Amino acid sequence: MTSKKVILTGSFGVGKTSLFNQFIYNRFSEKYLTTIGVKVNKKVIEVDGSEVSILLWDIAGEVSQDKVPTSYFLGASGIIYVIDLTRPSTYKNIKSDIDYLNQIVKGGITKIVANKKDLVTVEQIEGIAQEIVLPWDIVTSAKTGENVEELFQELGKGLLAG
Amino acid sequence: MTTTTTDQFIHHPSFNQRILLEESGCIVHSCDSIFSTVDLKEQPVTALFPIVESLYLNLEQIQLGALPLRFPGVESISERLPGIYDFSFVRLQLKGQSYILWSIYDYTELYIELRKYQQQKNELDMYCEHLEQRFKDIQTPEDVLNDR
Repeated sequence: MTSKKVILTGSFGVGKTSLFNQFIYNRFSEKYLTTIGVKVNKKVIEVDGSEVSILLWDIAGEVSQDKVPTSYFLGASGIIYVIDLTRPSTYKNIKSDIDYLNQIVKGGITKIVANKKDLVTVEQIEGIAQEIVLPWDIVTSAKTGENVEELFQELGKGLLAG
Repeated sequence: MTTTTTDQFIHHPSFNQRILLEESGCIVHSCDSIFSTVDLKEQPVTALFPIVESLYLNLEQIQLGALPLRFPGVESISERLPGIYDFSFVRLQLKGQSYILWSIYDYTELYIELRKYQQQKNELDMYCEHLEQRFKDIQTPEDVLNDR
């Protein structure tokens, strides 16, 4: 079975741990608890008939990605960069963050995820899509679980193809 | 390799555990200061610790004499390590045999304290962002009344 290391990153409070918990354990908590450092767990998913073990690293949110210890990115095959649709500050640095991450994780798959879909309207999402400098790959809600499985399916396909 | 030789490398205070791994990821020796590895001998630790599993290919590539690979603030999901630790990995050569030395530093209390302050800071920052957003939307006195 193929094993792939995937990093969940982005600013603080965007819902990285909630996406982690929703993906790994199918659970959600309303309580916000800051992540210090890193948490790692794995889940095996089936992608187009092949099994992929996703080793998911949930790392502490930083306003700027160059503050994350570079050792965390070692051997990563995929990056999930999470933004919060309700907070413009979380996508203010998206371009420089993605450029930086692409330098650190060469040849990896990067997915930009717009989270907290349950807290905004369709019109608001369309508005943010107009103003954001890099388009997102998928809109999710860690709370309802909407598109979380789809995110990892898409990522898994990319990881297997790469 | 004798036990005496490995003991020189792994005798440390109780907040620090040192584990000697062979290339396969199996435990050769451990001081067991933080958790017992008695029942883990001769099985790869990668099966128990996803973080080590996800790093193992990189650990194999650590060169002798290279600086240790450090991973601060690891919140372990293993029941054996129920806290927050700093991990470091370095290659060692003992009697011609090559090993990885995995050091675990228990900073749980410190990180829990740090998390308390980080949590307060993050919550305050998010509240400030929320207020800024609301004030941006206020253009007229009516908006203030409607915003209540």
